[in-house]
Order: sequence, then structure tokens, then C-alpha cells
Amino acid sequence: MSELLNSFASFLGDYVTYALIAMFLENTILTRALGTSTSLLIIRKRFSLGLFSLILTVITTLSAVIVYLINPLLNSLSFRYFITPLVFVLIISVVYVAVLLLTNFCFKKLKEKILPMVHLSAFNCAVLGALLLGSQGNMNFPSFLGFGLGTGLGFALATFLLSIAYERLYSDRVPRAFRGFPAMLLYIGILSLSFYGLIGHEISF
Amino acid sequence: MGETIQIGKSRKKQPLDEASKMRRKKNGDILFALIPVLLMAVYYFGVRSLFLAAYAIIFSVASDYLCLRLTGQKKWQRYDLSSLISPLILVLILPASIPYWIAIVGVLIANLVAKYPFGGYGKNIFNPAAVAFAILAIGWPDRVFAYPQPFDSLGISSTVQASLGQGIAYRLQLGGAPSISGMDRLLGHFAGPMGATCILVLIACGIYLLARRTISWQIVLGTLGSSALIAFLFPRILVGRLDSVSFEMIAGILLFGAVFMASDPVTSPKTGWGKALYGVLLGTLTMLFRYFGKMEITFAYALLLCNAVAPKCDEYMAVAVKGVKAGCRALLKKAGSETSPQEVQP
Amino acid sequence: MIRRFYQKHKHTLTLFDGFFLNNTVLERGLVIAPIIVAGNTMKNAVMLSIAFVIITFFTVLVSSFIPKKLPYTIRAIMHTVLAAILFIPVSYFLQGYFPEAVYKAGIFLPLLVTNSLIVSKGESRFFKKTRGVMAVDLLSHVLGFSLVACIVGAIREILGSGSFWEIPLGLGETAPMLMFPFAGFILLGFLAAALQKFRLYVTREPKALAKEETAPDGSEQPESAN
Repeated sequence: MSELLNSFASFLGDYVTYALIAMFLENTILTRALGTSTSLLIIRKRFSLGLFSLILTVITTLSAVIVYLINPLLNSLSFRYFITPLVFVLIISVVYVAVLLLTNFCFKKLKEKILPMVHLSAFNCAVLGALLLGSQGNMNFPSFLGFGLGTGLGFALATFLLSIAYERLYSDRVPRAFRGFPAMLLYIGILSLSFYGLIGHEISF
Repeated sequence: MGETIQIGKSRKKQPLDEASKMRRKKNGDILFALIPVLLMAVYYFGVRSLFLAAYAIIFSVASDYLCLRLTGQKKWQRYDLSSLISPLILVLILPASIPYWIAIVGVLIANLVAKYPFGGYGKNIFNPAAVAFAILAIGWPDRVFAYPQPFDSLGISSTVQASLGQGIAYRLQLGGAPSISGMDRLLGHFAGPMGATCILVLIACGIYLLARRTISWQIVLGTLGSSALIAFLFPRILVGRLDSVSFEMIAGILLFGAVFMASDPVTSPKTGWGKALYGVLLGTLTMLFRYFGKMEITFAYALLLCNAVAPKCDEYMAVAVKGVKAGCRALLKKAGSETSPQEVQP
Repeated sequence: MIRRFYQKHKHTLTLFDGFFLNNTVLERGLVIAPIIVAGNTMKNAVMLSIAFVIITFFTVLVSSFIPKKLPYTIRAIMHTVLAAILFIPVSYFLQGYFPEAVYKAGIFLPLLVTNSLIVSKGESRFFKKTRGVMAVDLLSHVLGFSLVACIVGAIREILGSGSFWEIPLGLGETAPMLMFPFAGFILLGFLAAALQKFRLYVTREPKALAKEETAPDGSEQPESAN
């Protein structure tokens, strides 16, 4: 019994640790700039952030599970580097179709709302980036799962921070040359600076 | 005077609105309160600090003027002292031994990255001095975090020959208690940023600004209170809880920042409860990342993050206060429902 | 003068829109991740540009032949898979020439496979045109990315580490913070602002010119929303 509890505790520990790492240290937008355009798009279209992050998390986590299963096989190949994207893209495609089918059959009421988000979050730098990052370090299963969760949460956090200033940066308070995207880039840059300074983490690819 | 010359746009001398009048008064106060801090820096570190401040102000005013011309404004808003305040703040949180050109780069960053792209003073989202300090500290940590001892002769040449040491924040990070007596702690007789060590003067300035209602007590109390509480509950050093609190308070730029940077009226929340939340958030983040981060001075970075969420602080606290009030009212009504059952608020 | 030139040749120039005036990166904000994080040396930038140009150009070109009758999901998967297949020879070739840069770029080279130009812009912009126009438009878009990547890479390498193409320039002081992602964001922000300023300048019609051209068609302005 205590063994089971122990293993559960270590599972949870790894899960939470890697979720936090993915959320703050490897934040998709603020430290890796992945999915910035997606983030701005969902702010502009006023998608529900929670729902989108949930979908992103589900897709990342499901793909991460498959990647975890396939990773030892992939690691044994000498030409691993070249085919990794192909394998991952295929995995994401499978998950993508599965999620689409799931939405079609299970959430008929929300279908209209969910489908565009699924399309947007499937082939997204954030998902592929999380898989590529996760597969590099030799992580165990709970860490892989945690990484999926943290990616979604980190995306949500960063998008929330961006959405605060969105209206303001696109309004006429900002000079004409900087209005909109350029000011947004500066804003993201300063946020990224503050994240970097707080965590003080040397970025490794 | 200038009215008749401009033809296309009618550029009347607009009477200042209430907000900018308020800002003007506050800026004057802050500038006034910064002067004793600068004088203390001159006392401890020599004329070099005066030169640093002068260079910073000259370049700040020049770049401000240039940016104003570029954005199409002809002149400053009357008595907009922000182009004097942010370079002074920046210089005072750098060590006195910093090369002049780094301070100048910092001033340019403050104006060109944090201030004018977002619409100039009054519209900036982030505190310009904090942005500049944050970038400088990442770029040249070996110069920004190396402090001269007070009363060392630094000279006025660009590079300093005196031996430089680590600040308190660094020692605390390693888990060792610096051996500084109580009086020295208060007087600022230890290595540290130029203007952030003279604790007594800072406290006096803080009280002056609080009394003038230039800075809001919610932010100062929230920041210092929450960080003191954390330092008391989870001391990093083993000599004692109260020592831990006092060292954490004087380490880095916490006190200086809480007085001069955090309650900048432009970048902080507007409502009282929002300010309180903002202060607590700022103190907590600063302490949290002092414990878990790798940077020595985390205040500037925590401040940037808090600047970003400042509008939401107001919003959420308004909702929370409303909810609590409604809850209290409901409870009261339940308690005294037999007396006044018709008191329903829309 | 530039403005006059631009407005005279507007129709020709809109064809090459993506290269400069409506740059992929600076105006639309599409493929910014590799530039911001990995594009901090000239070598990295050139390597990423080559990979991006080859992968994106041929993927979008070939995937324009995919029949539109297929459902969107299938098409999207086919585009990305195509890009991933193309990645194999490209990365093999690049690893021969720039082994170190490929290592440094890390995940950002494989990530080019799911760039927005392939995933979403193909459907929303390129496939709506005739194939010849599309090829020119596409080429200017991908070259626009290379332009920005090289500018940013050069600035960051020269000022950030005091070298160019890994040859030290002997500068006294460097600004190492330029190598970090946040500086990439800020630098790109300034470039984008400069471009926006320039675009506002050339597209604003002076009164004299507006009178000459009596009826400019209103649908000229390309939608910047994606």
C-alpha cells in the first residue's frame, strides 16, 4: 500500500515539477516565442481562452503520450534527427483526427465553438515545440504528461498577459508607427525580459 | 504666443486637466525627495555619483526632446518632470562604479524602449527605469552587481580602479549573513547600489511622500509588509528571524523601489484595493524569486510583471470587494431580517 | 519621391508585397519564433533562411495541386506531412554545410515544418490566386522572411558578440543581452515600427495624386488580418 502511495507521490511530484518547468521556464510564448501569432489571433477573435488552452493541453498531452511510447524506438535510429518532424507530425495528425471525431460525437452542442479552435491548435508551433523539447531530455512518463499540461497552462498565462494590453496597444494612445503589432512585440519583449530575470534561466534549445 | 504661428492645427494652450495637474504635483514631490538620496550618494561615493546623475539627465532630456519631435509634439507638457525623474532613479539603483556609458545606454533604453513607443509619459505601461535596469542587469551583470565600499575614492574617470565587492542580496543568496551592525544598516554604511543603501534617508523620504499623499500607503505597505512577512516566516539565514527581516529589507533595491518606483502613479493601479493587491503581489514575487531565482535583484523584474497586470488588479479587486460586500450585506440581512426585510440593493 | 514612385507602380509592386511592404514577419507577425530565439548569429539566420525558403516554397507550391474537394483536415495534414518530408533532404544538406548552426538552432529548424505560411496562409491567401501569380507572391513572402532574418541576425551578432560570420571584429564592448529572446522581440518591434512608418508614408495619398487618379478601386488594400 505504502509503495503504491510512494509511487503515486513521486508521479505527482514529477508531474507538477515538469508542468511548472513548462509553464515558466519553457513558456511557449515568453521564452520561446512559439505560437505568438496564434495567441494574438485568439485574442483578436475573442475565443474563449480557457477552452482553447484546454484543447491545446489535451492535444499536447495525448501526443506526448504517443511520443513517449515511440521515443525509445526513435532514439535507436541513427538518422533520428531528420525524420523526427515527420513522425511527430504524423502523431499530431492522428491526435487531431481523434479529437475532431470526439468533438463530433460527444460535444454536439459546443461543436460550432470548438471546431475552429481544434483546427487552430493542431498544427501549431506550440504543440510541435513542446513535443520536440520533451523528447530531447530523457523524461519519464509523468514528466512528459506534466510537460503537456504546463505547455497549455503556460500558453494560457502568456495569452492572458497579452490580452491585458491588447486594446491599449491597438488604440490611438500609441504613436502611429508603433500602433498594433510593433508595440505588441515590445510589450511581449518586456514581459519576456521580466520572466527571464525572475527565473534567471539560461535558455537551452 | 505660439497660437498664431501654427496654421494647420489649432494648438491652443490647453488648460491642464485634473489628472496631469495631479501628476505634476506628484512629480515635483518625487524629484524633491530624490535630492537627499542623491546627496547621500555623493557623501558616500564622491563626486562621481553627481557626474553620473548629470550625464544621465543630460542624455535623458536630449533624447526626450528628440522623441517628442519625432512624435510630432512641439514641446513638453508644462513641468512634466518625468524626463528628470527616471534617469535619476535609474542612476541611483546602479552602483556608483558603473561606467558612464552604461548609465547613458540605460537612459536611452528607458526612453526609447519603455516610454515613447507606448505613447510617452503618462501612457507608458512599464516603469522606464525598471525596464532599463532590467536590461542592463542581464547584459552586464558583472558591472551592475559589483559594488564599491562607501568612502572608497572612485575618481571621476570612466573606469574605476577601486576594488568592488558583492552586495547584501548576493550574500543572502548564498545563505550567509553579512556582518553589519544595526546602526550601519540604517545609515547605509555597506556596499550596495548608490542610492538604495541609505535606509534612514529613504525612510524619511518615504514618510515625506506618504504625508504629501504622493505615493500611496497601500502599495508601500503591501510591498514591504508582504516581503517582511515572508522573510520572517521563511528566513534564508540562520542567525534569527528579525535579522532575516532586516537584511531582506535593506538588500537590493527593495526599499528604494517600494518608495520611488512601485507607486509611480502612471504604471500602478488606480483604486485603493487594487493598489493593495498590487503591492502584495509585488512583494511576494520579489521575495519568491529571491529564493528560487538566480538573479540577485529581482525587484525590477517583479515590478515589470506587476506593471503588466496592474489594470487587472483594479478589476479583480473591484469584483472581490463587491462580492465580499454583497456577502456581508446578505449575512447582515439574515441576522436582522426581522427588522428591515425590504432593504434590497439593485 | 519614393511615394510618387510607389503610387505610380502600385500594381506591379503589390505583387512583391510580401518581400518588403507587407513583410511576412514584420507586418503579419507570422514566422517570428525562429528569428527571435535562434536568429542571433548571421550563420544561424542564413541557415534558417535557406531551410525556410526551400521548405515553404516547395510545400506550398506542391500542395496547391491538392484538390480542394478533400475536407480541410485532410488537406491540412497533407500540407504539414509534405513539409516534414521535405525537411529530410533539407536538413541533411544543411547539416553537411552548417553542422554547428543546425545544432544551435535546435528545435527551431524542425519547427519550420509547422510555420503559419504552410498551415494557414496557403489556404487563406496563396491558393486563391492563379499559379503564376501565386509563385511570385510566395517567393517574395519567403524571401521577405530571409531578409528580416539576416538583418536581425547581423545586428545581433555584430553588437551582441562583436563578430560577423564568426569572425571577431575587435569591438571593445559588446551588448550580450542582444543574444536573448527578449532582445529579439524588442529589436523586431523596432524594425516593425520602422516598416510601419515607411508604409504609412508611401501609402498615404497626397492630394495632388488623389485628384489625378479619379477612382482608385477600394479593394486595393490587402487584408492584413489572417
